[in-house]
Amino acid sequence: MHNALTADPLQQSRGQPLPGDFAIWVFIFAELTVFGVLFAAYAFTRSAHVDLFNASQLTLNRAYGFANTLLLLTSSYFVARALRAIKTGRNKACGNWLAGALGLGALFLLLKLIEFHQDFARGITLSANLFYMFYLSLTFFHFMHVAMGMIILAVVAVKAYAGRYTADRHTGVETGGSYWHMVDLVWILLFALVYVIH
Amino acid sequence: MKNSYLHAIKPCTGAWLSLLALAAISFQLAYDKPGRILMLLVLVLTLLKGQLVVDHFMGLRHARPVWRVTMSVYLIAVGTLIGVAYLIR
Amino acid sequence: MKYQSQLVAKPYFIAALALFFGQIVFGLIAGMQFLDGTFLFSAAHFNIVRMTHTNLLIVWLLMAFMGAAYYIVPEEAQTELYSPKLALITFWVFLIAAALTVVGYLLVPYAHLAAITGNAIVPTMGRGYLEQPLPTKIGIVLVALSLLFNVTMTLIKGRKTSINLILVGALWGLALLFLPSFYFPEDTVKASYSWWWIVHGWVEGDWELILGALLGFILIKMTGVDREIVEKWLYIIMAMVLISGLVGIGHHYYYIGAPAYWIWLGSIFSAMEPIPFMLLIAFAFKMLFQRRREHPNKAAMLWAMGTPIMAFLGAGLWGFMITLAPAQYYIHGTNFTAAHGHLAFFGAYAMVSMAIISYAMPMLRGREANSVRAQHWEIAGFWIMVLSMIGIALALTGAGLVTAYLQRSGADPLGFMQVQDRARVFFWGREIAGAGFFTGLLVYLRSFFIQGEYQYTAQVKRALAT
Repeated sequence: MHNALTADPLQQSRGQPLPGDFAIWVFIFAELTVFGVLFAAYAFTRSAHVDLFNASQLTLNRAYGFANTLLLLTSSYFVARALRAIKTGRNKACGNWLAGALGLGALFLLLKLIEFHQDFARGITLSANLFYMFYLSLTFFHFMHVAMGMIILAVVAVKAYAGRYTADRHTGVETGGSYWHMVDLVWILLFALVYVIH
Repeated sequence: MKNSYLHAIKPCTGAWLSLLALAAISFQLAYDKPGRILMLLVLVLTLLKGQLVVDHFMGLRHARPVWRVTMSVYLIAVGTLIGVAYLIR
Repeated sequence: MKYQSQLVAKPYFIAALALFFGQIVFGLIAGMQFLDGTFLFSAAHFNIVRMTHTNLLIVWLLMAFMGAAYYIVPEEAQTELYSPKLALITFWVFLIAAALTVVGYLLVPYAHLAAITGNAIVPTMGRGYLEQPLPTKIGIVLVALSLLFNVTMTLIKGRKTSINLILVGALWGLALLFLPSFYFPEDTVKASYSWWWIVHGWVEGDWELILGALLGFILIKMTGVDREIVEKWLYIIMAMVLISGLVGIGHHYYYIGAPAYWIWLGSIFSAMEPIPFMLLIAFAFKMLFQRRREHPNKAAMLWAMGTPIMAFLGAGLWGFMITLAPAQYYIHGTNFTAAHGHLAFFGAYAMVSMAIISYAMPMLRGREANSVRAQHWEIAGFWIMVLSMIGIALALTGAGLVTAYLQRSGADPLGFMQVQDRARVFFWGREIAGAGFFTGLLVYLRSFFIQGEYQYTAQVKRALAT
């Protein structure tokens, strides 16, 4: 036990169970399954309407998608830094990194709302065509996950500032972080699928 | 302690910078003409990004190999489904 | 039983089982009328028998849920119920209203019933499951309000556990989701919308949360596993129910005049609805394997383990088979739907009700568990009912497929009555399995009349001797 504490945390940690509460991983795998089915449904529907999908995809503003990718990637990085901070017992730094991640998440939501607003102004609705139906429902479904992830992160951040985590006991940070990374991972796939691949 | 802390930061930051670069490449490719090579290229880049998040952000490279493999299998499975759907016409 | 006021749950449970008995009797009559159209022709028409069958189901499940709430909320809140007297008055009001409604169905022609109960003022009657006359519907709301007031006040003054928060929250949801029953516009599309908000909102949303809370409570009590672990699982299951179920309502909107995108959204999201049931199975068995004690009530444990499995089969698997839009195009409204309805209602909600009754009734009668002999009867009843219900579901599935093939998808489709004749063997199968179910119910009910409690010393001696 003494050995484990003094050794390099990365070296001794190989072969550990999943970071955070196992329950969140059950949820993460379930969520990934849901998104996997959604992605496959999108892809196979597209194969029957290739021209429609390609033409409609061009009407999207890819800059929004790209900017949002950068935001989520960076906020995910911040969360990873927050975990590093708490592992060395720095509560305030952990809270600050999490607050930063939350700020980037809020920017993501804001950008997405602006994009949705412009879409609606252009007459893009669920009924417009199959591509827009998938685009709107997939991104909105993900939007709700970002909001949900932010609620979790906010709770973790408050607890971090309150000094409820220590270098040895910080499962909450790992749990919230793992969910947030999942949201990031899904967006990476979503961005490629909806905005890029054609 | 200080040393191990720095050691821990680097791969994470490296992964982050790589992810930003890969995202920029994907974004650039989005403006290219449609084609199978392009599609497969973007798909591979995307799966690579996914694996980076899984390994370095989620930290699964420290977890039991089975979990990392599970995530890789997921990424490959989703990637394959998408790839197949784009190749059949 | 830790609190005296939990005793009010007892009449609720007894009435629930009595109404359950009535439901099965009417089910048998309706099944017989499939075989002989003139059976009880002048006394009870098929539409009335069917309506009574389904309405009794809803009422007995509500009775069981309410009884469960009155039993669980005080124990979890660690305080007496806010007003046991109110709970008892509510019980009699609910029971008498339910009885009067059934008598009304049986004695007065439905149109006449509608006329004398003021359906012209606020038209609400006629939709499936919601056939109740206006006064009954108002009564249901008042009963629900009384329950909500009682349990919420208890919750406020006591300990706020996750189980209690989920249970009381879901009961609020149950009551609020009933309100669309007062909205019955002439526009059939809008009428269908509001009907599904209730039906889907209850059985594919809110009630699943009640099921989770009841199962969580039983498992905490019976396995001695840490509360935190159970609560975490419950929250995850709850989240998956909402993720899949909210948009999953679209699988009721396919061909009713709703926008076409529901075909996609409904198919995709409702296809995920089995996931929470899979999680429920994983959760229940994880708790079983991690148990820290051997509870003497083996029958209750069997119900608790059987519920998620049968719920997954009936709601998850059978539901999945008919949920995708192309599948539903051919089999919607056939007996395949009835197979799903039977297996899902029984596997999820009837079984979880019997699980909580099985756990709580011995406590309410002053013992931790029933005698081994009584438990043997109960367990026998469990297996006969479960296997018979699977039989009913398989027979109805067969009948549904006959309709799908001969009446809906063939190049030369047959007429309705011809197809019914071809499916006759399945209707016989259903009725025989139904008789089996009735037998199982009698065996199950018999167990309540065997006195005596579980004898620890006798069991230990027997275990040592063998």
